[in-house]
Amino acid sequence: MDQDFYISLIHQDLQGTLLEDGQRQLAQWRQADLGNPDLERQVRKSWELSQRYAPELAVDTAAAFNNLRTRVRAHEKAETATVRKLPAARSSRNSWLAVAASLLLLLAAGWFLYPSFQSAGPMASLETKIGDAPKEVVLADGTKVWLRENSRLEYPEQFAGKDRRVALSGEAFFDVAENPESPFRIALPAGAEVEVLGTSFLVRAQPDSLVAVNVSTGKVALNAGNKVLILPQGKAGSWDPATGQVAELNHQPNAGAWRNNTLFFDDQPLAEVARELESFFNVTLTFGSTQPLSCRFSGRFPAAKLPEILAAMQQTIGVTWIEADGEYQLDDGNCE
Amino acid sequence: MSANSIESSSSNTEEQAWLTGLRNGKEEDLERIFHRFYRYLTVTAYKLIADEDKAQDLVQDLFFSLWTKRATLNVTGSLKAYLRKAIVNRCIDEIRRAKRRETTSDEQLPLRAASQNGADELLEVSDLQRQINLAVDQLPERCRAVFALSRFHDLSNKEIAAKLGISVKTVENQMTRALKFLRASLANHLPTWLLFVLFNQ
Repeated sequence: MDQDFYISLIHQDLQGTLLEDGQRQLAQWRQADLGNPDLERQVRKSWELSQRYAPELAVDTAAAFNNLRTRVRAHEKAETATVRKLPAARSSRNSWLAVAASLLLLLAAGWFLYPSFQSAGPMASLETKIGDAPKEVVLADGTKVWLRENSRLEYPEQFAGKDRRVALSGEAFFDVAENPESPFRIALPAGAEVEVLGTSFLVRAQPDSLVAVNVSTGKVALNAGNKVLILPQGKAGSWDPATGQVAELNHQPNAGAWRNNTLFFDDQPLAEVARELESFFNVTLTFGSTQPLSCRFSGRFPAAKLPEILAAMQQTIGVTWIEADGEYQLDDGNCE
Repeated sequence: MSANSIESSSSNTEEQAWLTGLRNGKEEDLERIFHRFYRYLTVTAYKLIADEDKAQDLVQDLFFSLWTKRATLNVTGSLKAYLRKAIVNRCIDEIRRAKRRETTSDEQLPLRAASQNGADELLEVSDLQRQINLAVDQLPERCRAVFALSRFHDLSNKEIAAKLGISVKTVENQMTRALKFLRASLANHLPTWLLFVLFNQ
């Protein structure tokens, strides 16, 4: 047997796993050569010393934690974003109807195929760039349209034929003049179309996202491909151009808040309120360690400003906040 | 007595409070746990994989998953033991991945002295320790992993073989190789008389 074999036996003995047979072999080996006990002692000494092996690493714990925190927060943000993409489940509420009595909200997305306007006579268009204030236009039939930033509306100077047809890319709020004889139709991306069956409505269409229609009063039909979704008031519908799927959602009362700067909350869970504030004010809201998530919040805020709303929260439900770089952390809250 | 045991001074109740905070999504408690164990875990990882950057990455990944899986965390014993086990498992995974990448099978062990002090200079026990540290640092990847699992984690050859997905025979070979190398690193760089004195204490 060569030396390696006995070194392995010594190792097993050090580990306490050497069986009787091995012990015997090791004992015989010790006797076999005068140098062997020396070798064994040196191996044992190496083993003993290596226990205290302590690499000296330049570890910067604070910097390492900063990296971790960045990663954790990016992850949390991504998680929140994922959650936010899903349609928020909302209970049907009636009180908002009074606020938005004659409004239909329509959301649509993407570049789209304009339907033929040939018979409609001369066309006009209204366009807004990123950062523009909403622009308002009154169409030939008396329908009012508010166009949000980064949007484009095409409409005929005079409506001709049975239907009233316009086309939208971006986001707009429609208050449609009532005319049961002449349906109002909005051409949407990729051939989808919204047909207004009631009195007035609002439209929004952003590229690369869901087409969504948000109905306050009246009735809207979302015609997407071979699917038709009839949306009564208090409902919203969506259409995904990528998959062709249509889905019915609950109405989002603040979806058109950009038009009149009015935010409205009706006994909503704080997490939901926070999501709406985030998208409206383009800020980040987080919840601190005390997690005031059991709170609910109500209020109507014309000319809404975030500090006002936060102050109202503090007064009514005891929520406090700290702000840094557009990031607000909410804490406390006197809620059961 | 391991040098690492100095760092295990966080009390059990304190650890439990941190864990509770962590489960509730408190970032401060993640930070507390991190500050307490980061160095220990990085050193533990480094002993196994001998790559400082990789060791730090693995520890970072461990803490990240500690955070993302905080809701389902199941720590039964001490937090330190839990984290130590977790980092060792991550290192073992890394070693197994590295093993698949490895092309050269039997690297030559470079013999290098910690210091080239002449025999006329008085050598002390700390020099011997430094020599061993350097030798452990020089062990090639797989040899080092086998050695470290045996030496620092008290795993038997059989357990090491199972964890690394290699044969017991390979474990024995690598282990023998490591011990011979450590012994030789001492024998080759220390005066014979000192070797004799030190080794026969």
